[in-house]
Amino acid sequence: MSMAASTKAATSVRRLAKKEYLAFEELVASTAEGRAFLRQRDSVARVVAAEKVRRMMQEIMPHLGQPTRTSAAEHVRILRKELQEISAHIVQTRNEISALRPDQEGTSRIVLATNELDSIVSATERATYEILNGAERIQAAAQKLPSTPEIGPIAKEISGQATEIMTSCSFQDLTGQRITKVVNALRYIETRINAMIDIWGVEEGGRRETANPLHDSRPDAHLLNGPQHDAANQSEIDSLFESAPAPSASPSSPGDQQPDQTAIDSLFK
Amino acid sequence: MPALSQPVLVVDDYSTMRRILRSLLEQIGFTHIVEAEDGGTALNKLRSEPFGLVISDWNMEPMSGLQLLKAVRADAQLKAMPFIMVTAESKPENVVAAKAAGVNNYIVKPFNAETLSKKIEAVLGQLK
Repeated sequence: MSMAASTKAATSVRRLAKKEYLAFEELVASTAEGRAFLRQRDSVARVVAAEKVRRMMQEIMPHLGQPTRTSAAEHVRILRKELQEISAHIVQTRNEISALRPDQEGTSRIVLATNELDSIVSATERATYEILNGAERIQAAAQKLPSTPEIGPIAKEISGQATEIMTSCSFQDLTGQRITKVVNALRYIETRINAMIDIWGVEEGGRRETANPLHDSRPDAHLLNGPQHDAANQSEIDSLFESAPAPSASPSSPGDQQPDQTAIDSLFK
Repeated sequence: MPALSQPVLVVDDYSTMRRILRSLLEQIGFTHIVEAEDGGTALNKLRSEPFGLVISDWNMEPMSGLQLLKAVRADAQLKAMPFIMVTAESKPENVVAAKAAGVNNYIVKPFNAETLSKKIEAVLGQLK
């Protein structure tokens, strides 16, 4: 056999037809040694195939972006660390909220602050009444003075100053409204904190009322802002009043009339 | 000063403010002054006794001054009632809303005796 013919014979392995394969297998399996040979051959073939698959997977996995066993373990470690940190934050948050809840006497810092502000309103109201009493007594005394050319102007000046004192006492109304706004804000904060206590389960017992108890149902609630830091003076109010549109000829039912946008826009031109 | 003999209804939830207004009105010359502490009480009084002028705060509960004003303007018997708003609400939208509802004049707190006197005179003069 020439070299070329030998190479050709080696590379072109003949494949048996299925019928021939089954006939040879039956022939080999007809003896005990033949059956042992077939079992051993199958076992070796499985091992070889498994090793081929393993190698192929190792080559393919990096291209698919799948974690190797090492990187998966690292991910688990990071996840566990993150969860531990979240857990620590939750514990800290619970402790902070717990510190805000009312103590055994049913008081909290917010309740104390609210009571203090209420006391300020009451105290200034009492003081204002005393000032008003004094101003009225001064006026009454001034009116008893003789209306002589010498005394009359002085009595009028005293009465005028007493009136100034009285009108200045309107501060009590304005400060009262401002303090009421602060008290309402504190009560709102308290309500939200109580809601958080319920959510986090800091306090035992039944659920608190979490609905906003400060809801203002008045139809003009959106216009009720109280005293402003940059309040307009009376001259500015007069100008606004003059330029504001008059009411329509047939007023609608109470509570539903609003100025139209054109009228409002004309105020700001 | 016209109509000094007519009763005036002063509406404010702060007793201090009612007292100040009463005192100033007495100095102006009004002799019959009635007080109410919210819009609802004021409306009941307006429907049960005659008045020549209403001086009302805005921010009151349960019925505000604006609600009172709208109720007065919607009432056939009361719709011509002179009505002055005396309030700390000083935003343009408040003035616009009050005027649209039919208020006759608008005084912002704090105010002085002269301002009150001038506004009353303007309103009652307009109505002569």
